[in-house]
Amino acid sequence: MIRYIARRGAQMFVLFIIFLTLTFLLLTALPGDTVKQRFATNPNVPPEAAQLAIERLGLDKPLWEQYTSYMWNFFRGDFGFSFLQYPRPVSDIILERLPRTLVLFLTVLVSYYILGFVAGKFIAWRRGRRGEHAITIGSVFLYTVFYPWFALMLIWFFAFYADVVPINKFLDPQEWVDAPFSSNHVFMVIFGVLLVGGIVALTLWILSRRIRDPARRKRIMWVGYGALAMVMLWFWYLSDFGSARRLYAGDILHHMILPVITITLISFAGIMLLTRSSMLETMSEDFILTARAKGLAEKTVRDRHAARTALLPVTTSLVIAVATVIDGGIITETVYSWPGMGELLFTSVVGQDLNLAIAAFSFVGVMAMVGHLVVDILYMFLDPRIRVTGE
Amino acid sequence: MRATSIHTSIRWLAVLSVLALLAVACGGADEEMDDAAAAQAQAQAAAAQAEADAAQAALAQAQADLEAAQATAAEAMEGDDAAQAELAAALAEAEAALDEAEMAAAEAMMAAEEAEAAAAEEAAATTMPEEEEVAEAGPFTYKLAIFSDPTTDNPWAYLDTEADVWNQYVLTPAIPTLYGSAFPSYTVVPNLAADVEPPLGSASGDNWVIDVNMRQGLVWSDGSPITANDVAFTFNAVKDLEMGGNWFSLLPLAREDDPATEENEGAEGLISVEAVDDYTVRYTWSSQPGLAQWQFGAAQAAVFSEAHWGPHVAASGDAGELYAVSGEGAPSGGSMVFDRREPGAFARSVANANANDQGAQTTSFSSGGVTFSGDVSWQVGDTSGEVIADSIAGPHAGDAIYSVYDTQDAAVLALRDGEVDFMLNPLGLQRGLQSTVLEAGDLDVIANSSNGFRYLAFNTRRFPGSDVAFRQAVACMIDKEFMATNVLQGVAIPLNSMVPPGNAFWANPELDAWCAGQSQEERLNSAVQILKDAGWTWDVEPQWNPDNRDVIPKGEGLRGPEGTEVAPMELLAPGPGYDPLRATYSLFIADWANDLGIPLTAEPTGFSVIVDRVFGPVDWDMYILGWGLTIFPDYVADFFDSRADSATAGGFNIPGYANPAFDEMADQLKAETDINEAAAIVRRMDAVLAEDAPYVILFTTPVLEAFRNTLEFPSTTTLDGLQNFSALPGAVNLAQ
Repeated sequence: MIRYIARRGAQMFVLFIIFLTLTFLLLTALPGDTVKQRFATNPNVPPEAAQLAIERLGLDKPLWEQYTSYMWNFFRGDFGFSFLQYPRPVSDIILERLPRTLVLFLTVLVSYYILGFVAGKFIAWRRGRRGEHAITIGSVFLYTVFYPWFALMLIWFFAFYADVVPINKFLDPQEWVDAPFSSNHVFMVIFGVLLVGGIVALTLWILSRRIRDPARRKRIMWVGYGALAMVMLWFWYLSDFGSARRLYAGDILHHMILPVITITLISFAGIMLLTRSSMLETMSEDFILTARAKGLAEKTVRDRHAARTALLPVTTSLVIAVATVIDGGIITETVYSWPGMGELLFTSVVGQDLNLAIAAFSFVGVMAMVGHLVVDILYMFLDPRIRVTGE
Repeated sequence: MRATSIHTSIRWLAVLSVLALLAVACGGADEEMDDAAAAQAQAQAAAAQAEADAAQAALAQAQADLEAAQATAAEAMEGDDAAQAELAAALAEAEAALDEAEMAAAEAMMAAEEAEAAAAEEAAATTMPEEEEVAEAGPFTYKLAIFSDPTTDNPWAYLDTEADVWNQYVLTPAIPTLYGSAFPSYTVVPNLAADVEPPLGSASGDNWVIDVNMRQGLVWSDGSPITANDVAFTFNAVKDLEMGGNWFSLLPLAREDDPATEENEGAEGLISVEAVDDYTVRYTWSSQPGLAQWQFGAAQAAVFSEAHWGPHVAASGDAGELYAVSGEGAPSGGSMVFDRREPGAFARSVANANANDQGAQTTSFSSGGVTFSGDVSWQVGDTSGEVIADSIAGPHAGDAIYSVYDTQDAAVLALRDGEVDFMLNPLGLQRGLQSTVLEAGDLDVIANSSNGFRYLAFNTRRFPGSDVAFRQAVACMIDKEFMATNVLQGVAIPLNSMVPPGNAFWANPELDAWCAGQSQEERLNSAVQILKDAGWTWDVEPQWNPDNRDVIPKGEGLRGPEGTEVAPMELLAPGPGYDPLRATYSLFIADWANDLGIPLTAEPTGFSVIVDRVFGPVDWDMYILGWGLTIFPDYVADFFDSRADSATAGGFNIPGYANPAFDEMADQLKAETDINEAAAIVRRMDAVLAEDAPYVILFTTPVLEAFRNTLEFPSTTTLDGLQNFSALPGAVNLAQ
């Protein structure tokens, strides 16, 4: 196993070098450069000033020199400074954007995977009935609707007409003008709380599966979740650290409601259909017939036999989605004025901010590769039929 | 089965409860914030009341002391003149002190009443809709929508690498200058300078020296005086740290690496800026500076506080290190102080409590003149015309919040919902959103002309763009009125001059488009005649077919005077996603050129692709782009001076236009120190360019701006729109 992971790690490293090189070459091959875009159309800036900027950004050096110095600095953890926000370090900008994207899109991901899985399980079990047709048609309609239009309609209805959620952005400026914390700090706190809470909840769930007595298992699970909820409440309402940040975290969560609902509605159909087809395939297996023949309740057959097996492709899809979550969603971030990694990727490429674009892409690349590795390893645990053979 | 249903119901109830709790918690956050604000106001009111009580107690004590002193003195003074005199003096002092105490008590009482009223308003505001908050009198929060994140809060960087309009909106209200522009006439007027007009200076040895007297008593927001040392410090910092970007034109330093230096055996430009005394600053130039270098350059350069920025500059090895320093809370010499920036969400500035000239009145006249009445009074230019703007210097707003929106759709909803009061955007409001804005009764949309133009350029370095008749013939075929009225439906305004008519002082209103007022048939005939007169021929000459009302046959085999056939040509233009107006225009121009026999194909493409092609090697034929312009139109020289050829000198003469007579006029313009003479030169240059047609100026567009009609601006008719000055936080007020 360790040898397998080491071999995959070496492959990934080579692949990453190729990925970085291709990214660098493709971005430098774009017509124009950031200095031309900024200064060439500003008659107030004479050619000498443009030349000074070119030299300052190192764009006057030969391509191979730019490439080698970039790679050398990259692997020393120095991503350089942003061309568009000179002289701000690229790492600083990414660290500013990353928490916003992680908090929004991980929440979205969990939300639409749960909804998609539950709905998929439901319609597979009720195949051919009205419920299946209604849910399938409705969700596929949402899946194929023109997303920016749909998001704007939701903004118009819920934020403007009904006025129950904010129109845009991730915070209300009026509430934050005297805030003692930066929004980034609060995002990090929210992310930390969600991460710790999620890990604890997952651990509880995994441990509870080992308990054979269903009644005892359920009791322990609910006691555990209750304790977790109490700890959360204590953190936000009673601890000095949490209570000082609660109002600001609440403001951010309030702004998250509409984007989360929008993306969940748009995206859950994909997971639903994946679960449905996986369930249908599983339901034709002999062990389902055996389970029914044993006289088990339909719900037990569905949830504990069919759905667990059908979860495998969904899990794969989830892990890959988690790995690629940091590229965010350009459309979502633009429509909801939620400047995260997706918008950063877009603006850095359009503005030809080489350092920023390459660093942002490299984050996405690393996460995607790690995600694939995790999926391979997970498969071995989840599906006993899959084993690493030979060397 | 029933038990399962109950369990399911309980689960759903639990889920719904959690959702409800979430909503309550989120909503509760807002309420708690409002409660906190109200509590804060009440605390302030209580504190003010306590001060008032203390002042009253002090007053009562003072009265008691005075009475006691009078009684004691009456006993002691009998028969002693000196003692009587001393006593009289002491009594006078005591009465004066009593008066002061009474005044202090009265003020404290008023303050307490105001604080109580404020607390009551604050408490009421927690339950009031936002629209009503905006209508309240007194300092208010001015809420603006912007469409990109300000990339810096450092004002030095804003004038160099970070010179974009979003930074400009946020940072300029804090930056003082010796001279500035009075809006909407753009007349040069004094700010920090005591001399009403920029002095012209005199020769001093080989150099040219200009001494500027500064006003005394002007202060930074931290209360320290603004002096000549700050002006000299700013210059030296720019020079020592080799700042670039706009600093090159604001402070045109004499640089040893300037190509002109080699020719003239001495660096050309601004040599030094020194403080002669606290309120006299001396500019030393290599030779007498022209308008662009002095009145519209160094005299309008930013000034920064030496006390605040000096240590940062001293600690910086290069400009980049200084640009990394945050500008939050840096002393302001303007109406607002930059307060904080929350990247991706908002920026905020607050009113400068020590703003200079608060309450002063500035009046602008249609004749270009401006009068100012405050601590000092002055008059610039001809004030015989009508009053076009009349304003009282602010700041009127207590603070300004610039909220970032990524789309205009969201910003318009926010405007209608009361989240923002004004949308700041250099491109203006999208026309399609105008009706949405106007549906709300408390919103308005205003249109102003923009200071910019879109143009068609020829590559004059190679055939056929090198032939003036060819360029004139193409210009003749372009029916700007038809395009503006019939095709672009009034979105574009036809333009013929290099200076838009909105910049009235410099514009040349006498310029006509080629073949102006002609029908399509007449245009074809005129263009054919222009080419024929210059010796051009066709294999098939284009003909107007009156039955089909079209050109049949179209021209084919067009050849230049030397018999060279015109090869297929490309017209590069921004794609419809970037600018549908220019994309549409390019298709029509290609069509008209085809009629004439020019094998031209429109190639709508990316902006950066065009910039890369036309600024690089000369491998292009024609393109359409646009310029945003400055008030002083020295760009006319920059765009067409043969010594600024983009291909050979890296300048802005992209067409490669070369005309010695024009170059001579460009030199005259750069050296000219009289503004009227300069305007005459610009008009002559404009006429030459209209005749030679290296550019065909196509159109300009109005800038639409949306705002809440509870706002009051110094002027609503401004070139480039209210966003240039009138809508910025230092100038805007609430309507009475």
